[in-house]
Amino acid sequence: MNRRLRRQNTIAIAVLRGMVGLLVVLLVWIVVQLVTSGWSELTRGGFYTKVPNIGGPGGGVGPQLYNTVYVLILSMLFALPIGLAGGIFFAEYAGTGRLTNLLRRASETLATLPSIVVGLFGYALFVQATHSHPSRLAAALSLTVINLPYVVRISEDALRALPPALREGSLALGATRWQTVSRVLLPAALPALITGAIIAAGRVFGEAAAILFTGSNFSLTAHANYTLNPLDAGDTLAVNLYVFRIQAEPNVVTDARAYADGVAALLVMAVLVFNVGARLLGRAAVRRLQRTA
Amino acid sequence: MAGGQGGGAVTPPAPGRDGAAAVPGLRRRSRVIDQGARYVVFGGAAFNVVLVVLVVAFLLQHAWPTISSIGLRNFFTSTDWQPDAGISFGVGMFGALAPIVGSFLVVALALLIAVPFAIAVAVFITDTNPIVGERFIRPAVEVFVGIPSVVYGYLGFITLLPLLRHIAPPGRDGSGVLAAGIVLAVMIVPTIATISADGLYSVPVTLREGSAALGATQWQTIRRVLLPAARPQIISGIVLGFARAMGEALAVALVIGDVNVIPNIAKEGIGALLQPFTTMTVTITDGVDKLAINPDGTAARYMLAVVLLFVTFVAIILVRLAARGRRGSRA
Repeated sequence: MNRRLRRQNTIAIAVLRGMVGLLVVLLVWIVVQLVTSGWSELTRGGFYTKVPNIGGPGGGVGPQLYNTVYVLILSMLFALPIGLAGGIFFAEYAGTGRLTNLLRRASETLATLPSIVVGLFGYALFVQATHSHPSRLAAALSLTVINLPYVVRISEDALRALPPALREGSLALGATRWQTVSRVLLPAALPALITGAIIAAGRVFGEAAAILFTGSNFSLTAHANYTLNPLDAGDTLAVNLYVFRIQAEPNVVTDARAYADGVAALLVMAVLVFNVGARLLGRAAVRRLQRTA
Repeated sequence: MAGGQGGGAVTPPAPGRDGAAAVPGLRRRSRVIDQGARYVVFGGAAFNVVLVVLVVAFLLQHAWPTISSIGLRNFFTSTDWQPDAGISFGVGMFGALAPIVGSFLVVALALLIAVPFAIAVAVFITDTNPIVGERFIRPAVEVFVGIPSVVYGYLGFITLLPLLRHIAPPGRDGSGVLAAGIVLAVMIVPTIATISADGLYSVPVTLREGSAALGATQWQTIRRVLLPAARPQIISGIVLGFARAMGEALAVALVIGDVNVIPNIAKEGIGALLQPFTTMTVTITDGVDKLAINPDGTAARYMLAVVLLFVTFVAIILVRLAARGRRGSRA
């Protein structure tokens, strides 16, 4: 009996470790495959600045990269202040009543909305209802819908993670609640907020479906090159990866495959940079705060 | 603040929290600011409600032509889907059964593949190999949560489809439910694994020690004590993975083939999984370039979005019920 159990134990745990090993191999393979097949593009000078040259060599993804960063920054300009306010409310002001519950549920609901549903919503509100056309602004506003609940949660978590003594000490000294929040809690939570904001930005960087409906001109060749106008349309990198498949079959059109590989590798590298960058920046901010304290 | 320095008084400030009475003007201003800030942060939270209401209202409004003229019965039971025929012939067909079946089929397959691996990862991190798990596996898995879904789809398109082409019936390119299920599974394993791991962490240490002290093997402890104790959170993870897979559009669109015909499983058997098919999200996506010129087809696609929204809402309710179960079992 006992021996049987022990054998069962050994086998079960070996199987479990085997499954994890298999998964790790798969995940490593995914990154290696993506980065190696796009490496020649990533290391080619013109890749980041030139316009695409589908069907021929030597083009780049400059406009797409520019658009991605443009839309990213614009949407963070909306999402950060609103989300931070919401997070402060949940962490510092909210009670446990029905109203708070409703607000929390709304935020959770928003967080689980499929990107494509937000895309259709964005098209209806920011494009059709305003009698305009797909644009960077419409895309950024749609991304704000997607990102807002994350910024709310990140802000709330950052504030909640602070030691209660900070809050209590400030209030005991006679500071108002807002003085406590703005002069004591937010500076102390800054490292966590920065880390969170970068991770949120990373999510926006790879978002595609919502932008496809609200900001894409659905073309590999027509671009609003490096303009500043938020009402111009333009594909982002992630959208481009999908449009490639539709407009220029990567396995058929010459060089389209190389482009698409480059875009995929760039997106993966960006995620790694965002992740590592967030951790490093967060840590640096902690150190600086400790020095000044 | 000024009041605090009032002569180093040992006596506590007078009741009514008025330590700063020395500078009444300043005090009043900060109180006004305090009140204003209260409204502003409340506004930030309330904005979430506004957005949810707007999303529901706009989707329903745009889906309404489908509900009123095609009818829900036709929409949910017919498989005749020619939404874009209206552009050239004036009459389209809007039976959406095929994409609805497709969505559930693909997601079911994805969960079937993903859940065992996700739970294995969670147990690995929390129990069998906590040091390696915490140092390497968890951070790695978290990075994979962040990889854009369209990248998974693209990778599936360039590596998985050629692979599946070998086992597919002649003339097929490997796209279909199997390819989509595998891509989605890879995409949601990190989500389910991290949430399940959090659940396993929150199991009280006494349960683990008690089980070991009674002579249970590690595997018995995992299976009979830890997994049941963490079940509510594991279910939450699975439901969130389900919702993510259900709502994913472009990754699936790249590998499923987008053909609006339900594969004949009775006739084709397993080969049906290698037949090009579609899902709700894919069907919505393929209308993106005709949104403005094809109002009927667009309305039908908005109706699909309403169905997606409904499924997502049900998923959220399930997560909440699972969480309630946790509180109940703790008490």
